[in-house]
Amino acid sequence: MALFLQQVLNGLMIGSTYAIVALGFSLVFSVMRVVNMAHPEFFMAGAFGAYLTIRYVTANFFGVLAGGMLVAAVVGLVVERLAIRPVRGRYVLIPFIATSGVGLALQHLAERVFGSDPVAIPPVVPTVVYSLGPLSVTRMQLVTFAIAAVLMVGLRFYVRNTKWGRATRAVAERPEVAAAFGVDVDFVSRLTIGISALMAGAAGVSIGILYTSAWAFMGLLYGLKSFVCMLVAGNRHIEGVMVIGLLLGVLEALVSGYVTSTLRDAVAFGVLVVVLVVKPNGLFGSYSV
Amino acid sequence: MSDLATFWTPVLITAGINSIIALGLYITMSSGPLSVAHAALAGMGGYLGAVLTTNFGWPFPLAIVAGMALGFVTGLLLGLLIVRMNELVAGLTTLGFGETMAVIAFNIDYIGGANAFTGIPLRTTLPLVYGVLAVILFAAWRYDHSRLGYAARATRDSTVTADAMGINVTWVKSFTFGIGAAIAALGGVLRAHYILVQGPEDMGFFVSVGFLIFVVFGGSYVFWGPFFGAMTLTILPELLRFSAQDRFIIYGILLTVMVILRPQGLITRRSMR
Amino acid sequence: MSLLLRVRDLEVAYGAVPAVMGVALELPTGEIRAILGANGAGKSSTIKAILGLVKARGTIELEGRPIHGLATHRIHQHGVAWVPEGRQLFSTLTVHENLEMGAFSRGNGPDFRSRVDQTFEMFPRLRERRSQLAGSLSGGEQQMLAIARALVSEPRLLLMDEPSLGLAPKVVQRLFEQIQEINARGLSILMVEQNARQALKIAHYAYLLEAGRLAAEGSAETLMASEDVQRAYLGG
Repeated sequence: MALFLQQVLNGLMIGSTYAIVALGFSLVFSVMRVVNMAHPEFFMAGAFGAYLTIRYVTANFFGVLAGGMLVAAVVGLVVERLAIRPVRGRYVLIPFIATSGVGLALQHLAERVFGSDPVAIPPVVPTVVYSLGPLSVTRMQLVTFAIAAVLMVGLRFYVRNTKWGRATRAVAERPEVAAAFGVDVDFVSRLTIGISALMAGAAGVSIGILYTSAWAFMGLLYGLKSFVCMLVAGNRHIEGVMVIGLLLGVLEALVSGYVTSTLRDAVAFGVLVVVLVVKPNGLFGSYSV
Repeated sequence: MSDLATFWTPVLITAGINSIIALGLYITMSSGPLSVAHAALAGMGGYLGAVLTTNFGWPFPLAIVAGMALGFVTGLLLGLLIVRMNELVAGLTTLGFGETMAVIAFNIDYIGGANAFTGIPLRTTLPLVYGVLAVILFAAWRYDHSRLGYAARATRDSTVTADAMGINVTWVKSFTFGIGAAIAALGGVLRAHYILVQGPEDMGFFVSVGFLIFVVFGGSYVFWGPFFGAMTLTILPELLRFSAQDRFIIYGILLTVMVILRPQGLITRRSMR
Repeated sequence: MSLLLRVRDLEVAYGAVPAVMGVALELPTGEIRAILGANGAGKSSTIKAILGLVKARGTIELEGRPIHGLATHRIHQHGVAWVPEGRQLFSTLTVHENLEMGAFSRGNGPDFRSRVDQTFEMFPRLRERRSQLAGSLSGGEQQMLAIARALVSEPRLLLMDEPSLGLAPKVVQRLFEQIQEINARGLSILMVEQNARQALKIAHYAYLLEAGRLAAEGSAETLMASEDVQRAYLGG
């Protein structure tokens, strides 16, 4: 029983990062009808941003988090300007291909700048282990979960209760009408990409610190898992993607703990296969592209 | 003279193999669907061919045929799966398929798992590659002017119209997918027997994107396009002494720029006249 | 009487397909003018051109100031509001949120709240459904909301695209009465309508479009009496 609960706990911690990466990805798709294949690179940029911040600025955790998120946001805005804005509204596969190209370029750019080997990130959060009965959790795991929780709650609040959040929902549904009532759709797009990048960046900082390393290709696996989350959850409600992200983390942890840890990354793909076979078109049915 | 040969032979062989796989992608995409699974299809062919020659001592030509058969069947099934999907979901499905294959390969120890399948005998030579490439180019040329080729292009332009014209869209899409996949698998077998290693890292989405760029850059409407794209983009970086990372940075940027500014590629049917 | 809206030599093309070829129209302040014509005549394209939603050539002036080429979201700030064809409400937003979107560029202060109250006076059913999702309203209620959404920013010019589309005849009658009331309060209205009879009852002046060109124009009485209009659109 204790093993089960421990794995569930571990899974929730990691799952929270899947959730926020998936949320950002899903948000951009809902609002802009764009599958941003460079989204995982925002995650990677966050981790490297954390590395650079620690190296050149400060080792204070909040500073590192801010630094990482900032770098991710900058990368996000560059990607938006270069690969998304010029193609918005065109034949739907074009942004997919364009962002794939940018993603590819960014990965190898990171490889060129930082090398092909993972870069070590010193622990800026002291390794403290908390015990809750038979269960244990590290401080960094808690911090990771807290950051993700704050971001998720913040996003939900933003979308439901703020003027720009409303405008974002309006643009997601009917961009022309929103524009006719005064909404600057380009600005909303930039804002949305910025938010998605900030969230992915925060996840990147968390994972980078948790695993004490950053790597040019670390986005690949994360990107695909968040992509699976989005496919499974559909796009109707933000909450769905969050829940699926957490569930995926838990599922992975359980498989890792009870079956074999080498299959951990395969869980997402197993889910993907099942979903594709069972409901190939249905999950995107709510937003016909 | 032999220095030149030792430098250029690998480059030319790689360019030739890339052209073959690119042509496979071209045929698949000629009926419409975007495929980012072709690296995985090539890899599957590579794995099967390699296992057959290395572990079972099969003669190389038979291994090639087996690889192509696997590619064709897989491609056909994949094509059938995506026939009714809208293009974005179809593309994403090929993405999912490719990545799933890569993960499966990663986890099967019999074929090497994470450490890749090694010990493959060297069977691929420069004349062989270009001999095969010549055959494929000829086949692609005949394809472009065949009824299937026209049907595929009609389907690509508009499924609804093609349907109304009496074209069996389902059959055209899946059959072209199958053929394209078989050719990609052929490329994969050749590659495996040249590099002598077949691993899961060559099967992923971004590797497929690397092949996509040959088609998008070179031209997706005429068979010369992917050939031109693959040859140019494989050989030019070598000529210019780009490092591996620079090459991919350029590929990525080029893909983005091309798809935004000239999605039909450099070589179109009009420019051929 | 000053001109609120002036359009000259308007040309709209979708790719190689021309939709509007050299249309000219005017809307004096305080009037209701209608644009009539069959489907595909270019009526909606004209409205979209004024809103900057489609690429167009020609002159478009609002109170003498050229607005052609302005970004759509800026045009709203000049006091132009749109009631789109088919309502096009934000169905995932509530009634109240739709109104908030209507006033997006004017803010949600006490000014907004009083305008919302005024709107609810005119459409009391909407007040009852304030917190309901716009997608759950009936056809007539949706039309009310679409108009309310446009009115809540206190525009000077109201562009209405096929307001009677899909509504029952009784509802349509009440709707056109309300449009007249809105106009009586000082709002200038340019209305695209297929229901020529109803439109001509309340419009001061009308334009008839055929295949992207202006086929006829004149006061409502003139057009009602004209044989072409009678034959083509009023059923003889």
